[in-house]
Amino acid sequence: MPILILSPTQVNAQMPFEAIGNVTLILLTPGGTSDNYNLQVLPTAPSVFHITTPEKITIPAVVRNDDGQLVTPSHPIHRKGNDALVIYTTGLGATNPAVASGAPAPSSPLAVALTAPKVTLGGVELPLLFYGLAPGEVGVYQINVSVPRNVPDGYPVPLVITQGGVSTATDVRVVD
Amino acid sequence: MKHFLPFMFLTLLVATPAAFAQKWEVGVAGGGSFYTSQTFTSPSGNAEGKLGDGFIVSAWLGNIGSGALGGEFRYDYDHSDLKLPSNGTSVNFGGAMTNAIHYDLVVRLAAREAKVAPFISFGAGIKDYSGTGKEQAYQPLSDSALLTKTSQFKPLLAVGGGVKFQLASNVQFRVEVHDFLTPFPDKVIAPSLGAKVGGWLSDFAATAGIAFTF
Repeated sequence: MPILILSPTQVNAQMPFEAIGNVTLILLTPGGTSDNYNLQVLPTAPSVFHITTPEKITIPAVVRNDDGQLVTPSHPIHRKGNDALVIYTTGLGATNPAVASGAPAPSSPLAVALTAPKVTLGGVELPLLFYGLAPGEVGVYQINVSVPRNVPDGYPVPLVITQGGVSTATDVRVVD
Repeated sequence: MKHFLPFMFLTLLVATPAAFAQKWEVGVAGGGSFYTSQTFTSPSGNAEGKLGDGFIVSAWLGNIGSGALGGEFRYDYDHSDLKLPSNGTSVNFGGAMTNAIHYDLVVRLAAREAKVAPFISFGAGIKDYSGTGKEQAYQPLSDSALLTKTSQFKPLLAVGGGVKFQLASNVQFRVEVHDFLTPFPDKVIAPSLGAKVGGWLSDFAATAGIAFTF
């Protein structure tokens, strides 16, 4: 597995694209070898990355395209502002063109996920602008969507991503 | 704001025929506006939500009846800011404005020919609150309330009074105070998850202006 970050308490690694189905995870260190950790890897299992702010608030990695800032309750989605959103996720699966595990995603051509996700905001489907690997990143996907005017406003409004029968949801605030 | 000007035009259009037989008055005024606040209660603490002190500009078209009773269509523009003070911390949004239209009944408390004429007024209409500042991804006190770049209409009650000074046969100087009351604009200054706010917001406005009768 390509290792991305290593610390005394945490290892961030990319699950290889080739690992599908029932797999066994083993951690090998100079101090010893871990027990087997058996898990099932689905072809697609989308999940939105979350960020912990300096104020210790955990928010989803959803960015408003108009100013490049994170969507938060105080920086909400505007349904009448023709906002486009960039949602950073993991688990969108294989892409075309295929990218080697551990390699940064290309910017030209873009690596598009083979299975298109469905994104809804408050039950309203959002038009997809792009879904695939984020250029320059390793194992990080992004979904670009536009926000139509008919999404409901309020807080919390569920932002749901469904792909290959697997769904993930996070809450955001929507205003006019 | 999308429906604001059409609504104002339609309102004037409907009211115009009834006022043809009356004497008219048109005027403008400016002054200061001062808001009350409402308390946001949340598990993490309380905060006060309000609009800051600002300036107000008013324009009106009035009909003066033969008796003590008259009426005025008024438009008020108020430039201010959204504020959220709590325990020594104060968050400002960087801008806010309101637009209001209302019809007020005006009761003249002096004879028609008096040079100095006190009056009282009361009426109703609508008020549009807009946050115009800059949204920030991390806003202090965001666990209590959220200052938001959005607009929200609220019903408006207006009460007031003042004095008209007859400067010339068709020119009046007037000073007046108003209290513009609306339910709290809880989408512009929105409660956070778990926080609550309610009640009414008072906008006390003191203005001076000039009016022409014809």
